[in-house]
Amino acid sequence: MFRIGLRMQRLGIIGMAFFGVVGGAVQAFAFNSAAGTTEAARQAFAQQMTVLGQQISYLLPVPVGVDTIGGYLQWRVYGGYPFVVLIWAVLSASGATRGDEEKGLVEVWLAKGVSRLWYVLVRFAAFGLAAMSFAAGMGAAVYLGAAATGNTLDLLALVEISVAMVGLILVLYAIGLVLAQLVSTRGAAAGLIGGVLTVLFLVNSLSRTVDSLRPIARVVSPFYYYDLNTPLRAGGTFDVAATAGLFGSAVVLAVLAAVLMQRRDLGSALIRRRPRTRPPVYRPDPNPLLRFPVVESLYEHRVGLLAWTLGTAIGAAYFASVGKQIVDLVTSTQGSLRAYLALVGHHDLYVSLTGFFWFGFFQLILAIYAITQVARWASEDNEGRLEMELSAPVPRWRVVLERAVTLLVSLTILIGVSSAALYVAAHQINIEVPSGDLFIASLALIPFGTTFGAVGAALASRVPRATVAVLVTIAGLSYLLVQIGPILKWPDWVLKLSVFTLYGNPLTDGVKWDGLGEMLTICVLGFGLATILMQRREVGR
Amino acid sequence: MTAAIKTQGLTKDFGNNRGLFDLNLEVADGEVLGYLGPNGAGKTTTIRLLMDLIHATSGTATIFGLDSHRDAVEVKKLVGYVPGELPNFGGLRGKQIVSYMAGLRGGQIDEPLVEDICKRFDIDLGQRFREYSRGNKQKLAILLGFMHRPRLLILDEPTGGLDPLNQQEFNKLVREMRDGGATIFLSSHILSEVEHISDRVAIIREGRLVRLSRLDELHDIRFHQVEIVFAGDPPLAAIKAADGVDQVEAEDHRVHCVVRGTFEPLIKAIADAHVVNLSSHEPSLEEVFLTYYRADGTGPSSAEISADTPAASGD
Repeated sequence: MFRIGLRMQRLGIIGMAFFGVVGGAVQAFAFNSAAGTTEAARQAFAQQMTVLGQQISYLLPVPVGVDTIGGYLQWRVYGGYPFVVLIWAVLSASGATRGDEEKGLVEVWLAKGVSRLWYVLVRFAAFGLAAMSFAAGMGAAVYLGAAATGNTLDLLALVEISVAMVGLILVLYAIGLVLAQLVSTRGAAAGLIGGVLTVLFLVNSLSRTVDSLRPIARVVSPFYYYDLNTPLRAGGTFDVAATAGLFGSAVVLAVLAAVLMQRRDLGSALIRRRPRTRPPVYRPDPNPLLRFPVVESLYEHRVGLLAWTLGTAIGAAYFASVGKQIVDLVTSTQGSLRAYLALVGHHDLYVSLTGFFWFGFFQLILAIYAITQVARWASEDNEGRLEMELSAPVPRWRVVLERAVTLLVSLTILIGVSSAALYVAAHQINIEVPSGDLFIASLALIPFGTTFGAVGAALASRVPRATVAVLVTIAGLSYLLVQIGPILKWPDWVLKLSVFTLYGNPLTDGVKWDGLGEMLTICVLGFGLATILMQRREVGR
Repeated sequence: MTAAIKTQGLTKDFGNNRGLFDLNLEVADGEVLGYLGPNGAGKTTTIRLLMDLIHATSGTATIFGLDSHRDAVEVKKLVGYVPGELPNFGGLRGKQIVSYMAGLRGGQIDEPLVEDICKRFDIDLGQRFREYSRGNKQKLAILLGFMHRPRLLILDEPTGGLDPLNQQEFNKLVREMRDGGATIFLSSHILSEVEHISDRVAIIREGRLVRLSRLDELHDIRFHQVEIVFAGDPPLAAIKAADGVDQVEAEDHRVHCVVRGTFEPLIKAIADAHVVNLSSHEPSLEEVFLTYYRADGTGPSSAEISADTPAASGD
């Protein structure tokens, strides 16, 4: 069962190992390029990063000693990855409990005589091994990356921070296992675990600047205890007690999850609402939204779309609101950061920076959104929904067309609302983002998001099981390329391999017509190919 | 008169001798055809070919004269389909699923029929799909297949998961649809499940049609395994002499035998004995095949069948 548990997490292990190894190595490689090689350049870099880091302390710890590679990696890699492992813990914990329960696998194991306690503990142990593999892979990549650029890292310190990272991953996973007992579906479990872990993350990160939150973070947030470990930076420490506390809490929570699982019915939540008494329904739903193509799909997934829209709108407003502080910081300092930001070029640096930060980040969000939609198409195909659709008088091309239009409409809603939020928030702090440019920049995002949908639609028609992994790899590599490539001064042809470069920066530079043309071509080809493959493919489980 | 379903040399070769091979079959308009075969025989493959969910390696299938592949959209306006297993509709309520499927059919739905089926099968459309039991999911699948009163019903093991009362109700519903002029293509792996409602039965094994007969012509392959417990010595000679009774084995007061056709000769043979208990078991179709056809899996070919049964030749 341990082996099966590991096998069922192989996608997460491969994905996380990829991001851990690539992200760790790239940051280690990038240090010399970003910070310079002279003492003076590194001091200037450290000063800029310290001020900048204070502005983004909601995301990363406040940087200390980033003039050394140890301090830089402690801040940039080991400070930045807790949010990434949070997402991993959400997906894995909800999948290992409710996901496998929905598939009927837990029932099979329990029927074979495996106790619930044993089941939970074995899954926990399997995930522990996966977490160790991830931390070891990332640690090795960081060490080799640093060595390759002539920098040396304290190996013991690297081991210590990796151990702390494993402790954090395990406790997040164990919290997820406990929370998953309280709801009955995978979707609800992922939502609940994601919500709670995000709150715990924010309580800790905001406590870096809001003193009143610190006592709360100390009591509830595992991220607080992880942050106490700073062995890589000069003068930093490895907090043995805090790390032991993470591991101890993880084990206690895993046992608690097993106890809670013993007390509930399979397929049910631990605490069940008494069903309301109501007369049986014998008639179809009169809601007309359910009967029209595209509208039905939007209606069915309205809660998800609303959550995405609200989340991105809040993100846009936040970026706009901190934009002024960041610009003021940049204009008050000299050096590589200012020169780097000057590359984005615009007569108004506030607008320029907003475009650079928000629209850069928003592209990644839209890519992820498009991938979640593609994942839904693939799962609908695998689970028989497509078979039911095609048993009605629906031509196959209409299925692809409906998916494309649904994606276009939902992207338009997502982008429209977020851009409106950005505009209003910027206006509140006296940054006047030109509405025409903002409109054009927003409009150009639609084909960008659709590009991922088009590639995904073609892949889902041919290799539905591998679709998500391929798309995530494309999006991840593309994003890393545009983030790291300019720092490492990679040639243009390499940067152009990234899908993100096709969008450019229309808010400040105008529409990148060649990129737009390429995106539209990919959209037409992708959905065209998906239509042809849909005509030819065989449907059924 | 145009046949409801007509296949000519219909073949789907998955390799390794798996699939459907050279199927020649004709189902008349208004007929109920039981399509029987053990698991993996090719029943679902046939149905998926008819529904254009998979593509034939060779041969053709027409439904009311329309090509099932080329005219797939037109065909599906005439067809109601009940799959072996419903897809996962997650958090959607039953009533929403019905509306959604009606929307896909361009509003083609008979609402009084929906209400009638729901009441007869006690389907509460207010529940979420994931809350339905297996049996209720199957009832919903039946509702979705019947709700637009189609001319042709293609049913893939539709009674799996239904209790006997609901199975009876289902049989009644099928008869009503037939009386209303519908053609029904009903797949199953249990002979007794289709015998109450079918006009003819097609039997498929290892991807090949091995028999196509009227129900009353099937007596030669039907048998029951019978166990009789007597108070005293069993009348072995009379049992062995009874018509249609063979494989007689005795063990003290207990007798095991196989009865083909009617039970009347056996009942007469034991009429004077004191019977303590009598139980009869109808074997599964696979057991029937193992007994009736050669154990090495070779049975009469499609060509032999065609010669025996005019309808199978497509004439």
